Amino acid sequence: MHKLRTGIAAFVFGTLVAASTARAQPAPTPPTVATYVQAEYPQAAHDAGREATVDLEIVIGVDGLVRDARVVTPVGDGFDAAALAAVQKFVFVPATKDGQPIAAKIQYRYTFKIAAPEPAPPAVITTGQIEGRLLSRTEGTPIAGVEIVVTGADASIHRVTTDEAGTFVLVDLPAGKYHIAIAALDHASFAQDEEVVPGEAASVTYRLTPTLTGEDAGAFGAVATIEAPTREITRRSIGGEEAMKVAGTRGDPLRAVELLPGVARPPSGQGMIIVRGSAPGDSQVFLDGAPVYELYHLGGLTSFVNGSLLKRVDLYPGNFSARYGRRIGGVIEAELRDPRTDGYHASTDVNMIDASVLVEGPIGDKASFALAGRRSYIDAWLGPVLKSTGAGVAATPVYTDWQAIATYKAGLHDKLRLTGYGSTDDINILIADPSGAPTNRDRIGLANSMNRIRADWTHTWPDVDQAISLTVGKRAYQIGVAAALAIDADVLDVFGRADWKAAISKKVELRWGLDIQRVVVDMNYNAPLIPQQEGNPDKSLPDAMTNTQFAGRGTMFRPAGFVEAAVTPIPALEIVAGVRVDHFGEISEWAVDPRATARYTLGTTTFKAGLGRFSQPPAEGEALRGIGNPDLRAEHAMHYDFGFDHKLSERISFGVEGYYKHLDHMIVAGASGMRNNSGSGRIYGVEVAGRWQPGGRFSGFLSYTLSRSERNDSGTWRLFDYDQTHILTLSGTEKLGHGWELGGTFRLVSGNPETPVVGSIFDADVDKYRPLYGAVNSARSSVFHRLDIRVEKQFQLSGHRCAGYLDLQNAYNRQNREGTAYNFDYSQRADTPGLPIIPSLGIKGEL
Amino acid sequence: MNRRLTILMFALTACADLDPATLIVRDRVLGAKVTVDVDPQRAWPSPGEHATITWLMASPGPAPMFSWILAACPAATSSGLPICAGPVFAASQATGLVPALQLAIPADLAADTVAVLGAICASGNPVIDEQTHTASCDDGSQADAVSQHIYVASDARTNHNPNLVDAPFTVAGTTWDPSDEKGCSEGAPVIAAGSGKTLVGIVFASSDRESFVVPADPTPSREALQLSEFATAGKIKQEYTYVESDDAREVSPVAFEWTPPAASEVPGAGLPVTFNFVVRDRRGGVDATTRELCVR
Repeated sequence: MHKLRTGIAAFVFGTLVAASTARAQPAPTPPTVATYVQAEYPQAAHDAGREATVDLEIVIGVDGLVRDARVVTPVGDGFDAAALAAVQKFVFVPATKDGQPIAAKIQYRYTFKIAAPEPAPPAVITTGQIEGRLLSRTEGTPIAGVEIVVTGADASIHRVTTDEAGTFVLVDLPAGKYHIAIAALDHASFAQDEEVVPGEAASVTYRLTPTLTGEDAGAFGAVATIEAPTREITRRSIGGEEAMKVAGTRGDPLRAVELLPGVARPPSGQGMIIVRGSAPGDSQVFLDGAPVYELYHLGGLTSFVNGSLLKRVDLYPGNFSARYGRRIGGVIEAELRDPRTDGYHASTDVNMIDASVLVEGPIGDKASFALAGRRSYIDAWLGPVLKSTGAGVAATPVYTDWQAIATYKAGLHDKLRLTGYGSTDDINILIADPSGAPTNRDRIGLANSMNRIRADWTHTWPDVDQAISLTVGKRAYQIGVAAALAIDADVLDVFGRADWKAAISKKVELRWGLDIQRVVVDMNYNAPLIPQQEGNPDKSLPDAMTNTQFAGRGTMFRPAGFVEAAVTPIPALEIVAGVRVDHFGEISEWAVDPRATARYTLGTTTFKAGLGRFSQPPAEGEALRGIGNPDLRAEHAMHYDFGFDHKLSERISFGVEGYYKHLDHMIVAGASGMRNNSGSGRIYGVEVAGRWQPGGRFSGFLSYTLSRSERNDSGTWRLFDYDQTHILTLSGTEKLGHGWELGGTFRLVSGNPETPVVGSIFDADVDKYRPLYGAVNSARSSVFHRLDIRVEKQFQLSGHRCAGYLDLQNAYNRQNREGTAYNFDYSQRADTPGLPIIPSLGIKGEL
Repeated sequence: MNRRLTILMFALTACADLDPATLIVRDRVLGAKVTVDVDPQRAWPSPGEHATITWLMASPGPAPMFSWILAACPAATSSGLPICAGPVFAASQATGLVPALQLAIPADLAADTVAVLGAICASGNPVIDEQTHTASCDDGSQADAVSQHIYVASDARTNHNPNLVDAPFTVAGTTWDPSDEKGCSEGAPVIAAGSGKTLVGIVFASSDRESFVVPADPTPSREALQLSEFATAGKIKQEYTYVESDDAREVSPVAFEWTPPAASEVPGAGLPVTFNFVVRDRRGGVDATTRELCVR
């Protein structure tokens, strides 16, 4: 244990460039008593009419419970022991610092005062009461206005609503057992049994876990924190505020996912997510439960969502819940937060790449809104730079995105939310003709856009939570290379999802739902058939002479249903078993995927294991008659996981996990180029995750992955294109004080596999040398390493919170090799360098 | 879909300081021209006809004697790397100034195209490794492995070679005629060393571009032309210049930029520069020509 702590400490100090001795900005809140326990008055002192005051020192944990207490100045007569016994049963709302609960030591004075004589009690007492308080498990704050339903053994129902302090009292309850059910908006349903003893008050404190929505956001990011995973074997989560300060991501939480264990480094300029050796298209990003296909703007610079609106980002690298489907790799779930209701706010972020604006606030008592937009302005300076090189190239890369959220709380149990979001990417490169002659041969245009609206309704019953959503949107893609190649596609997406969750008993929780996807693609295709990309060293398009022309519509209707039960036979063991049934309409195939995970907790260590089957339909167009193979079948994978998580302290934890994945019916290109299902794959590895949670001056994480990913598409096993044997990431942020923060991210990654070129042949048809390749992926590129640094200074400007930041990617300008460039006849070769040092200087502020 | 875009973008941005295709620094192949023996303007022989495929070579200096191995077989595909769908029916292993293969198209040929494969050496004799399908010269020098498809005429569909030899050329705005003389001879255009970008222009007539129909689409299309340009010195900005298929003009002028070498790279007597041009109609029709100038 000591060795491990020392290792983590070394990681921390090794990662940081410097650490100031200055203290963080203090904004603490003291602990307050949530549950007061009356001390037993010493009988002799009472009889003698003596009163007293006892000064105590109490140590309170981050959970609000009393960890230690002692009498500072003894007064005798039994008062000391009585006071000590009472305060040890106190429950506090813990102290906070920087918004996070912290342990605290306080001085407390307990006063013994003889009360006026009580009226004589009734001869026989047959009733008791339940009194208590309702608190947020994560924030420790009271939850007001929540109805608590108490059902007696005789089916009698009693109701009470919590007050502003979250407290409640139910009096005159006949003695016996009662079932407590609490259904609070934005929190998980809660149920517990209590016993009422005649003449006594059952004093309780219930802590509810926030669920799908949250209210608060910091000045520059969400503040949600993530509970330990329960349903999935592994969930790696990044809270918005933490993720927005990861160096090298330009404050983009979705880009921070690339640094988590199991996620491979994508090549520079290619926005893709490679999870546990799976192809990028085998993993799916969901935004509020709806799949998103274009996560990043062109080139992978940034994702399409304003990071300030993200409540959290979860990565499920494998063995994910039956709630998710249609993918055989991993799942990333990004969740938008609710707009703020504590007044009107506006914030902006202006940097060298783009500018964004966010406004939000309440509408009356029950509604709120948020609007955000962003536009890049690379086009303003990249075009002139390219022209100044004399290349005669005009480039206009532009991206935009927008988000709009409106929420309405219809009552204590209902919430409606309307969300809209979209993005556009456009890049148009024109190599000018020096004669001015009208030619467009060298024009290359790439454009895509996506716009969606979504409606959510969440409702809570005493024992059942319900979430229903409908997402409708359009996507458009345009690819053109002069007159030789043109692909236009308009896509209509409809996603419907309904989830229900119910506590069947104290030991069984059931979750079930429907998930329907309908995709309609209208395509005009005048281009060569796109060759297989993965495992094909020649990724260039075939000659234009072989253009395939297609104009038509493809419809993909994919309904699915799932059911999942979480069983807790003993408190330390949780077993989640479920099954998902998918229908892939475009290929008329059903898929039944059973999945199961188990978690066993022993002290601060949780052991976990899981296995499951996963299915994935062909990608858009792959099964479309005319440009694809309608006889394709679904791809399948089996996931096997095992490992453990260990908590070293409240903020420091680590885990180790091994996995194996078997892929079958993988879609590959046959000799004719037509796709078929003859491929297979195997992926295995070990992941180590270390985490230093936010809440103090330092936060950060360590991730290491040892893995091997192989494919077999022609009878021979070979390495996957992005197989990376070692992936090490160290990332940390230190609050230096006086508003300064310093962060660093270091990555050390094995080079990607490469296929050597052993010769070439001149194709006189088209005046082009064609390479002759050696064994696929039989060589490997050089090791990649890079350090990113982020410095941020927060300050007040005319009463408004502002921050300036410098995000420095590739701080020591490492010339990483991203590939190999060859001359025209492949007789000469040179490294294709990755991104050089890239500074991004920006300023952001909030009104 | 986005992955395909980014892969394309990545390919566009990948660049390095490597020899450009437009600079002739070694003896090499620029193309292959097919002529039907009974009608040399025709590029598509019919089954039973004799044809000659002539390889267009370029050299930075005097042309050497080339050695070659060439073979023809029925092709399995009409583009990409040729794949034989039947046995070799014509072959040539010889030495000479112009690599060539004469062949008789089998009268019963079932394929639409003929694949021609081989290797050419500027010194030594070509050797082909049957394991890796790579070519080398037996004296250790670099060989050019070559391939070409010959389209076989059928159903009255045929194609003629475009005419580049008679196309008017200009350099720096003045007429640029072919010359039998090499070097900085009298009459060759003179371009000042280090003078910056020089415009080379070619005008194609509409008669250079045939109309044709494809079986899947009865709407007539016009041929597009792809001009490949090469020089023995200086820097050509782009590898290809095009006349698009939808260009409806009677004459189609095209141009490209060439930057002559700096004065420090030019000897006092001047530096002769040879330009090679090859035009393709992308349907198997090819023509080629050369021009000379002097940088001084």
